[in-house]
Amino acid sequence: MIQTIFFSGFMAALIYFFVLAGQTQSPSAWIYAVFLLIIFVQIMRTKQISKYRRIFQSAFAVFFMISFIGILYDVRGSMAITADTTLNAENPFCNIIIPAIMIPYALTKTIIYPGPIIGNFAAVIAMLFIWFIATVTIGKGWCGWVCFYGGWEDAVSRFAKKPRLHVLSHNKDFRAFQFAFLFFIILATVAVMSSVYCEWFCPFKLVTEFAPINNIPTLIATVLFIGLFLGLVIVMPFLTRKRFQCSTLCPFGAFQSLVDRLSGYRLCIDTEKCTGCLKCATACPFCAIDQDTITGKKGRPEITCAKCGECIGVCSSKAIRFEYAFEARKKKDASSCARPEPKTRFGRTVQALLDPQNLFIFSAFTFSVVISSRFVPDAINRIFRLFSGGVL
Amino acid sequence: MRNKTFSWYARRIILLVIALVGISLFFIYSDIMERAFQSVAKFETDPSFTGGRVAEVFYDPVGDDHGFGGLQYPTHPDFIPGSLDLVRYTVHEPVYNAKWSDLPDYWQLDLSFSAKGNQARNIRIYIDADGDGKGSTVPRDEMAEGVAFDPSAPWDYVVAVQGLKGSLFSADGKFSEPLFVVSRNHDKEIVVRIPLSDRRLNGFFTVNKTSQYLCVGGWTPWGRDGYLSVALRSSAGSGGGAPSSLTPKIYDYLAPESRTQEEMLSLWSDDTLDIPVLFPVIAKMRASRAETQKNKKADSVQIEKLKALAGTEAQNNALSSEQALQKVSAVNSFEYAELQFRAGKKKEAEASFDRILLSEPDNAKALAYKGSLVAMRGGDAPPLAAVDIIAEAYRYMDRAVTLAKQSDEILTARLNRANVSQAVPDIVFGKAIEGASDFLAAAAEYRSLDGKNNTYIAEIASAYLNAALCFEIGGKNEDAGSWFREAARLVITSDVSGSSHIPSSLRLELVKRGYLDK
Amino acid sequence: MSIITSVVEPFGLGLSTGTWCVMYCAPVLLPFLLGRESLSHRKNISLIGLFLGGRLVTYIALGFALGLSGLLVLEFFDPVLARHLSTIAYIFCGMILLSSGFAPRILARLGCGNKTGNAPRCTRARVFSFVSGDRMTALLSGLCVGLHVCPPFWTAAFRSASSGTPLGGAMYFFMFYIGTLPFFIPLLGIPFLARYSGLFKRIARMTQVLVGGYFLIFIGIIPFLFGSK
Repeated sequence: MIQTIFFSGFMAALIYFFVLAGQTQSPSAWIYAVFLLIIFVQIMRTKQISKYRRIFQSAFAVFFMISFIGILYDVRGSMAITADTTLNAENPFCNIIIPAIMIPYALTKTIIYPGPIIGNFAAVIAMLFIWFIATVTIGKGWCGWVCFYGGWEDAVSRFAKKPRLHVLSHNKDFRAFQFAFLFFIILATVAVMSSVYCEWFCPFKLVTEFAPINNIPTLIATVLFIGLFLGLVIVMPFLTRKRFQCSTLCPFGAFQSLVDRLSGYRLCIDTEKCTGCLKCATACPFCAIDQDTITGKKGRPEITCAKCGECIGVCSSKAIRFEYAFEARKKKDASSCARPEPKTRFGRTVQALLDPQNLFIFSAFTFSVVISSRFVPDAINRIFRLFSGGVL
Repeated sequence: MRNKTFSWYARRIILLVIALVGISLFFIYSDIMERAFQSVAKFETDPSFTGGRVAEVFYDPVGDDHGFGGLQYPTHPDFIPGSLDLVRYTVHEPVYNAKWSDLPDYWQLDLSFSAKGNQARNIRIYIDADGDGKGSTVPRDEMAEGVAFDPSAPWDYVVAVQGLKGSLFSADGKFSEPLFVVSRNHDKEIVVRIPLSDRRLNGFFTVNKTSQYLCVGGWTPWGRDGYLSVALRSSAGSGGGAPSSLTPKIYDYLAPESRTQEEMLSLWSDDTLDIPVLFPVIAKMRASRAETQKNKKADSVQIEKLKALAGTEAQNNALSSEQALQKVSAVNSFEYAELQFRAGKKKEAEASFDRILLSEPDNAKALAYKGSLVAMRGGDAPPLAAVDIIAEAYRYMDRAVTLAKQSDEILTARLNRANVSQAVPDIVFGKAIEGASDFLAAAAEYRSLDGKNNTYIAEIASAYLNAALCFEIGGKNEDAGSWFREAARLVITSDVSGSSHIPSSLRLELVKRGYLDK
Repeated sequence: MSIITSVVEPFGLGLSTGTWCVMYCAPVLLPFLLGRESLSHRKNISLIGLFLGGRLVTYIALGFALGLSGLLVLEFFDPVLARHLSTIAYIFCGMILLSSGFAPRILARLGCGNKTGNAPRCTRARVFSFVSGDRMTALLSGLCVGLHVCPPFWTAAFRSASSGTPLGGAMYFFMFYIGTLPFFIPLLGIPFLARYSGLFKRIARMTQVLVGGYFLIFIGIIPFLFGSK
């Protein structure tokens, strides 16, 4: 109870600062602020981490699309990338291509993307800073808690009550393919000195911006974008109940898996409590728990764990919990998740306040609040305008 | 249970603090950190997306859109004063295999003007691409511009741009290619891309320099080659100020360093029917690390002398402000408050302006000074508090600019805001470029008061210099170069005519950067 | 051409622009080398040597041809032709990488051998087995990569065309090639990485197939047939 009040109080202040400050006259800001606070309080109170996280991320994905497309129309008059925007380096920079621009930058000292370097949220430096702070705090938790693309898959994967395709035995193949795709994107980008992912392989062009279709290659690219979106973001998540695109294709997700070592938090699977039921493996949206992970008593999910908390929710023996990365590194026995149980009430309170789960959730939700606060109230305003007879 | 060690608590409390406030503070101050990072890292976009590396930049004097010296704009509203006034011409390196572009191979040329007005412009860039002495020495339509070209650099290709349409023609008439033309910066800038996929234009990839004749005239659909005609008097359909039918129809010409536009364009003869011969600028085709104007060594003795003079002038100014203050009898007047401000009596001045604003809340000048004084307070405050104080200062000054209607109000409002924008750290506030705009707006206001009397030449030069300094702070070095040059030109003009005393502090900045010799 | 223009200048050009060459060669070489079975230092050096040898053959042949054509090359060697050369190079390179990547599976399906490493001799698919072998893959992909026209290549092409003789042109390209060689030295360290897990090799092989597919389709067939985006 104390931890819920403590963390919710801080989160309320944060929400006020980032969502409401300067917008107290705006009903959409209030609606969103209240929504965020309810989500957070429910996470802390009910411990149903993933359920409420999913609600947030799914909503964010939809509202982000509305706001982003609306802003493109306001500024440019269309979703299409024009010659002007490229010439003036005004294309919004997306975090997904961060891994691809690093080696070209090291070789040529230039950013091989025609986007603004500084000056707004979608500028190169702003995105790099956001990436940096997210990496050293929540690591791959970005994918599980913030990514405004992954929310689509989170939403669609819940439409079916049961998976129609069982892919647990292919988890390793998916992970291998995802890293191979990352490696390929980096090498191909170096070869052509242009963002290959943006040119051919981004499934989210449908909900952001795209090159105008004025020749056969751009038509082929558009067909590919639509195919990837429908196939990997809609159909496969529906069939498998996994975040399929996130698990098999997204190069940023693969990159975050590699740099997750820098984050302060991990998940731990207590092999003594684990009964081997594999519910966590079935539930994991990121294909980060295999049969071998459990039977081999690894003590933690695979590298692609996005700390979404889904496994914690389904584990009936409460064998999975968050731990600090420095605890994980110090452990002699990797499979042990034991932590001392305080004897006094004060000790239990302190432990609750310093519980890695609470700190991780607070950190991750901070990112969720800050990133979404730029888009969701704007999207709600646009919807209000549409219903009151105006344009989106 | 083991006793908890200090490090056990310390690590967890650090992570708790990071979670509770660290991440939020990072986002709050991310703008400042980003600007600081960029000032060190200097990221830039791959030039192949944005036009290719800059090979050379040419600066043309501001306000010389008068052709031979006497041409006037037509009276038609499309011809906005300054719309034909070229101020800067940027030649990029040719780009091969560009991505995200309809043109995979191109050569980009940027033209900046001092005012908007694309629809009025008729631009010709005659290019000697190979220096082989073969080509044409007359314009595409011989009678259009009314000029000829240097016989040692006959042109091979011409870039012809009207509005946002352009074509490239060869001198032999056998080749033409449509160009990609866009405008930016509120129509003050035109970007021209010449496609280079045709093998006839391969030479541009390997040539080291080209000779170019850049002519800007008015556009009309009825003129020869689109050139607006010129006559003795302006009308809606023609420019004025042309004493002869042989007067070239060129309003602005990019002159090489050794000559002036007026000198070249005035050399026609009604007796012998000779027309002016123009000489080209030589444009490098490769970016180099050659010394720029800024790197010219400045005379250190001269600098010390100017520093001493500037110091003396500053002391004299402070003394005269103090003396003027003592002479004013009406202590509650605006004049008194202004003098207090000039004398550096910040607290007293702020109190005086507060009194004035109580009775005249929409007094633009009082608001401007109040804003400046609040900003000065911010300069003395601790960093975290300073951010809010400066924001408050801008609220006053922005209101002052909005309310200002008369010239003196406009000048006061703009100059106060510009000075504050220049003074506050750009890394924190990012106001340098806005400051430059304010200084240029003030300069335009001075010009409108000045006419051709050169009464305010020192003030205009000072405004240009400060605009250049702001552009320099904001990283826009090409814009800074334009206005440093313009300020230097005015100082030289003033020295020659003896019309105005230019402060030593102004000279000092120009001498330090090599734009002036003394 | 003097010694300066025929030796020092092209060597300097290669040395100053060698990163471009590595940028085009890395997508071909890195996944290929990392995906080989039991990659010893000796095998690594021989594969890199074959790749660079193939590249050298193409460079010398091009230099010879350009020197022979002389300044006539300016009449027909334009950016469009250069891009066509590159797309053809990518098409062939893509096919080679794909055949090398899929060879074990294809040969296994044909009943020719096991799924691992160097395709074994097989009477029923001898040619395919030979072409998809590691050595031939390295050599053929080097030959293809040498055809790719990058900006420094463009400069070298014009300079060698103005050399006046075929031998002069070939020499110019040879020295340009030598200038780019130091940038390939880091590849000699690949066996240290390659000793890691089988998963690493698997990822490398998948990457090779992806790179091959990208070369063949996206920067090969599509621009060849329809022009670039």
